This record gives sequence, structure tokens and C-alpha cells, in this order.
Amino acid sequence: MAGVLAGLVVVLGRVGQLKLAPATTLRAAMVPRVSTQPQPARRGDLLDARGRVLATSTIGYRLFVDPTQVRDMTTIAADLAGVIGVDRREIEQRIRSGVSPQYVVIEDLLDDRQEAAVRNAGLRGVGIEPRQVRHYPHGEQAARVIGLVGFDHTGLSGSEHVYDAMLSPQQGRLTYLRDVHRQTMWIEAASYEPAADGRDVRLTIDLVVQEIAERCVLDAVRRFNAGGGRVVVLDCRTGEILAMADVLADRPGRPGIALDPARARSPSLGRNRCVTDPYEPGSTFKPFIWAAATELGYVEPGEILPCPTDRPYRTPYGRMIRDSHYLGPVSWRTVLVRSLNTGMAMVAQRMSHQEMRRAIGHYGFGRRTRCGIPGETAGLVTSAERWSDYTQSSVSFGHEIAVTPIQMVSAFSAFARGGMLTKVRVFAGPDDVQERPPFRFVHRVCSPAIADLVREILGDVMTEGTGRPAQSDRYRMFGKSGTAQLPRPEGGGYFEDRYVSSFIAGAPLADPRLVVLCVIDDPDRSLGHWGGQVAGPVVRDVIDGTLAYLGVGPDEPLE
Amino acid sequence: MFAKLLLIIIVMGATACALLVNRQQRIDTAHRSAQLHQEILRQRQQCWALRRDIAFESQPERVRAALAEIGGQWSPIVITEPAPL
Repeated sequence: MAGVLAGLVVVLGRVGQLKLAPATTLRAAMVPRVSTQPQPARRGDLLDARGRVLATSTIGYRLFVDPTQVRDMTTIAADLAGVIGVDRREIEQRIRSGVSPQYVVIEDLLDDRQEAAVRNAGLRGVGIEPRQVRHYPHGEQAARVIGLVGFDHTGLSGSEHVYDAMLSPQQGRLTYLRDVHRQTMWIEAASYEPAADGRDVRLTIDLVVQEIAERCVLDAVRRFNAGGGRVVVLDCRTGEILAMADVLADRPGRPGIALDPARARSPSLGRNRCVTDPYEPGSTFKPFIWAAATELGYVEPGEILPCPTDRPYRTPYGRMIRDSHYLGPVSWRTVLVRSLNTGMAMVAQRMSHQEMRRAIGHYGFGRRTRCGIPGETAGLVTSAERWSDYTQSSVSFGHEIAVTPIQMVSAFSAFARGGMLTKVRVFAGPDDVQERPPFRFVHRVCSPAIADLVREILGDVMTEGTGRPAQSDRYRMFGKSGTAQLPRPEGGGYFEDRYVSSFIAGAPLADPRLVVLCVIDDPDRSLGHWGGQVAGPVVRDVIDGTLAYLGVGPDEPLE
Repeated sequence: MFAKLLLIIIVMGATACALLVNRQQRIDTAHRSAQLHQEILRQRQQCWALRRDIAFESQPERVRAALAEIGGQWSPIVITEPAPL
């Protein structure tokens, strides 16, 4: 009995001693083993207008070595070489040249086979850690609109950068008590912070329309040996940008087109010339001045203007204005249909400088559209102080002014919307929100009657004017061509024989759905340079393909 | 007296064993929970990879090539009602 009691006392005493004052060697093993594991969260996807994935993330694995845990570098390098199929000497070199003494990256991204092989090998001092990998399944399509993420998986350019806050995930954390074999023993409720994935973002870009636009403009750039080309497709009902295509061609020995060295590193790093690079619109600018002058009452559509028959028109301040064809006295309506610089200059003199500048500003020129693409510029409009009679005439037929493609489609869409300027955008909204951002008007730029009249006249441009090469067999279009001389890159005027060819059109004429602009930079003159000839067919093909894709039935054939 | 003491020792021992069993079950449950958590994460990662692969396979030019392979005349569906503003 006494012995049993004594035994119990001894056991209890030993328990107390182990708990309160354990031996040094035992103390180390008694420390709770707690590990913290990050809970990876995924960056949100970028989606197109129809929900197709433009950019998405997966989890990949990075292979690293802790040299402090490695007994023999040569052996570990040989083992790893056999597992992941990389040269042994290269692995040794990486381990020895690593900056950190405990963390040397051997392979930044393992494929599935390599990852499984490393796990199965169980090499001491070798570890794998998860990392996010961003994928762009559609390659270079819409690359400059989509953008790119950097090494730390944050947006560097394009929509990846603009919507980075929405796309970025919140990493979680899991802290747990583990045993010597790293098996989880206990998790406190407060030790788990769930990860939150980034939100998916939907753009207005439609991949099918983008593919149509890129294919057509690339074909034209090659066919006319041009320095570059741009296409913008706008849904004029909603202000949504369906496509933005931008091509640059390197032609040694022909300076003049601003190149983009960043594209050599990555197509996604280049600038989006549809919003960054202004150009002289030429005759495509005439509808805006025509509408403004008519709206202000300075001229009636039926008024006959004394356009010259066989020689340039001399302005009161002594400038000679030339047309490509001299038609003699014609109506104000015909001036727009046949794109007469002389007629435009005559009427422009009736407007004050202030009125013309105000009209230009009203259509959005000289201001950014704030469509949601980084790097957008405002174009170039001569300041009020420097605005002269010469400027007044030049601007009336689209010279001495520089506009961006996005500004042009935005302004032109007013003729499709009863004179209302639409807010153009590339951001449709977070994908987890059911309602799309509301469609917004900016303001009225002209009366509905003038807008409809201009649209009707631009429809005649397609049948009687410079738009004839671009008229579609399926849809009645309303549009305008433009052919402007290419400015010299260092200033000092223009090239005599190099041009910027452009064409802008909307369709269908009766109930417009799209506005499409094409700008071809510096086509080979021997192959063609007129806007209607070079850029017009691109617009026609894009309109044909896009309207068919959107399910818009063809118009009745023209008689 | 001895029997009572023995009974107390046995009962205490049984209680201790029961507590140990309970503790072990809790540990096993926590471990299983962590395993499930890891399995869920693996499945999610597989879903993400599939999403990427589907996006790659549904490129417009691939769809176009697949349609061409199928052959026949393809025409767009004309939508008669107007799109909502």
C-alpha cells in the first residue's frame, strides 16, 4: 500500500518536473511547432464582351534550393539534373551564384511532370513553392488593350494596369500546429484567413470583331506596303469599343512613321496608337465643319457656291486652295459629297475663328475621351492665340489639326445618334455585377435634323463620291474618305508624295449600329494612296464581317 | 481499502485513456480537414488550368478552322429584334 502510494507520488512528481523544468535537450523538442502557410488567391480574369477569357492565371511551381541544407552541391546538382532535365553544371552555377544564402531559384516555372518528379524525389534542401502564372490564350490579339503583368503579378500596361486594383487578389494565411512529420495537429479558428480571389473584369472588346479588324488592316498594310495601320470599331448605340487594331511595319530606309521599340520586347508593352498617336484627318474632318456651318445658319444645303471651274480658289488673304477635281459652281451639299476644299474654305470664312474652335471642341477634339486606355492623348488643335485665317481654311478641310482615331469615331458617332456625342469606353464592368454600366451621352453637338442630313449626304458619298470603292454589297454605309500629306517627323512641313489615307463610315445607314475608322500610314503611292481606295475597303470588310457576326440582316440591294 | 485504491487508479487510468483518445480524434479531424483543404485547392487549380486550355482552344481562328473542317455553308443568324439600348 505504501509502495503504491509512493509510486504514485513519484510519477506525479516526474510529470510536474517534466512540465515545469524539463532538461535542456528535451526543452527543444517541447517547443510547439507552428507553421504558417500562405493561401494562394488568384488574380481576376480579363474577359471580352462575350465572356471569352483574354487573360487568366494558374498556379505554377518554382524550384528553389536552400544551400545551407545541402551537404554536397555537386551531388544535389546531379540529382536535380536527373529529375528536371536541366544540365548539371548550369544548376551548380546557379546555386553558387545565388544572391541569398538560403534561397536560390533553380527553375522559375516547372511543368507538371517536373513538379511531380521533384516531389517524389524528396531531396533534402530542395523545395518548390507555388507562384501565379498569367496566361494570354489569344496571343497578340488585342495585346495593347489587354496589357501585361509584371514579375510580381501586378499590372504593368493596358487594362491589366488600369484595373489592377479590381483584378488583384487578397492572399490568405493558414497557421497550424504540426508534428515532427509536418502533419497538421491543430488549427485555431482565428488562425485561418481565407484568400479572396481578384474580381473578373469584362471589357467591351469582342474577340471576333478584333480578329476581323486585325486581319483586314494587316492585309491592307501588306498590300499597300504601308508603314502602319489602325482600325477602331465602335458600337455607336452603346459607346462600346468592339475592336482596336494597330499595326506597325518596319520599312528600313523610309522614315516618317513613329516606331514603337517597346513592341520588340513584348507586343503588350507597346503604346496603343489608336489613342496615343494623332494624325491629320484630311477630308474625313469635313462633315464636322459642314454640320457646324449649317447649324449656325451660315449656309443652306442648297446654296450654290462659286467654286472654281479650272483653277485653284484664291482666298481674300491670298492663299491658293486646290481641289483634286474642279467642278465649277456647286451646291453646299455637293461640296461635301464631292469633297471640295474650295467650297469648304469659302464657307469657313463666314464663320468666326471662335465659332469654329468652339465647334471643334464641342465634338471632343482637343480633349481626351477618357475611354479607359492608358496613354491617351488629346490630339493637336491650334491655340486661340495662333489661330489665323490660314488656320481657319486649313481646318475646314482637315489640315492643321491632329486627332486620334478614338476621337474621330466618338465624334462621328454623333451623326448616328441624332447629334448626341456618346461616351466611348472599353470597360464593361466587373463580371460579378449583373448590371452593366449605364450608357451615357456626353452632350448634344448638333440638332437631330442636321445629324440626319449629314448622315444622308455621307450616304451619297458612298454612291456618288470618293466612297464608291468602299461601298458594301450587303449594307448601305455612310462615310467619308480622307487623304492628308504625311508630316515630316522633325517639323518643317509635309512630304510631297507621302500620305495618311483614312476612311470612316457607319452602317447600316437607316439604323446605324457601327462606326468604323481605318487609318493607313504612308502607303506606297505607286500602289495607291487615296483614302477611299486604300482604307475604304478595310472599313467595308470590317463592317460586313462585324454586322453579320452581330446578326444584323443585310439591307435591300441598291437599285 | 486496497480495493478502493485500485478502483480509483483504474478509473483514473481509464479516464486518461479516454481523454487521450478524444485528443487523438481531434488531431485526426484537424489533419483531415487540412487535407481536404489542400484537395479543394488542387481541384481549383485544375479548374483554372482547364479554363486556360478552353480559352486557348476557342480562339476565333481555331473556331473558324474547325468550321471549315466540318464543311458546309455557314451563315450568321439574323437577329430581328433590335438590341437593347
